Amino acid sequence: MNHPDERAKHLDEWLGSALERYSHAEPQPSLESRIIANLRAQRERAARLWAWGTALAVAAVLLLVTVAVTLVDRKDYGPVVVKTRNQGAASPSSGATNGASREAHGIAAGPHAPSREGLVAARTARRDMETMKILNTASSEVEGPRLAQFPSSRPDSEQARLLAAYLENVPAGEMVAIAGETNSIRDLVVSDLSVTPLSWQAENSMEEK
Amino acid sequence: MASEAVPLARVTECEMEALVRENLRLVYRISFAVLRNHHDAEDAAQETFLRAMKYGSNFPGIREPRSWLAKVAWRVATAHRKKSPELRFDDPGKFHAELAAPGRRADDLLADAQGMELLERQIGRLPEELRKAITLCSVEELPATDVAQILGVSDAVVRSRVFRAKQILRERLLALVKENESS
Repeated sequence: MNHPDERAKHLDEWLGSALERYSHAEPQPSLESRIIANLRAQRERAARLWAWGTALAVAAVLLLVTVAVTLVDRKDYGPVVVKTRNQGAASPSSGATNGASREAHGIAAGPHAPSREGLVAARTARRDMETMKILNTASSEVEGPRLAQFPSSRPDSEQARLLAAYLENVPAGEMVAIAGETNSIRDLVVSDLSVTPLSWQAENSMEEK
Repeated sequence: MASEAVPLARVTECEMEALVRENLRLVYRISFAVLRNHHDAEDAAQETFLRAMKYGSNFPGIREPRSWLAKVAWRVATAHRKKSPELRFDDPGKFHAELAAPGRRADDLLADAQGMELLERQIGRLPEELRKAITLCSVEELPATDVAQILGVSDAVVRSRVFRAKQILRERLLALVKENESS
């Protein structure tokens, strides 16, 4: 065996054994327990985070539901908002509207006499304002819990309220008597009624004759 | 092994601990092969098992936890290596302790240490593909099939790369010996 071959063979052997030992490393005995403890801690932390996250999510959902319900309730009891036709009108009609409001408030138009369109707009504006007043008054009157029927009942008129108060105060016996009178009103009807003419009418007819 | 049949999606705490006990050595050796440092290898092994626990439930198709763990360990170690490309060898204190231990000759230990350092340098100078293949194949618990799976190539490619890597290493070491003799 020549010298270079022997050297190459020796080198091959060394390389093989060195490569076998290249990654030969033993972990420390404490590493296993450290890793397991770390995994346990991580699991507990994750479980705690999950619980907190769930609780927060539930709380957020509840809060949202509460806010939504409150908003819906407010919307139901809120005043009726009526948009006038001229509120969103383009700029050309704004002059007419201003004229109309001036007219509505009794302000003189000045040298520029209002046109026909302006007068119409003024009338419309006045009507809208009156409608708004009526609606606001009605909405301020109609306060209280909403009834479960649809459409909700309108407030009673003054006459109806007086009648109801009267009916409440009238004793039961009187009510029966009134009912009895109402039933016997047929007795008052006279079938063969002949009315004699009055004296001055009779005189007049005599003179004519 | 019993744990190999258990999909990771249903791994409980006890099963996870068993998984650690059975595969710690493999994971540690893969990490050490890449990082060449015991402290970094320990960190990488720990991170590997944490990732396995964190993401294992997302992969219900994992049927071979051992191969999957080897892959995760390889990726974790490679990521560590990319963060700090310079190899940090173990402190000499450990070598001194081995020298002081009875039963081994100091000459042999010194020769081993120097030879290993030389080999590490030469492997570090190999092309990336060859370096990866020979590093993974040096882990004795890892069969060529798993290495091929980790690298995403066929078994034949792995064998070919390892052969070429060994050839290059032999040539370079011979050149070093000749250079040493001539000087």
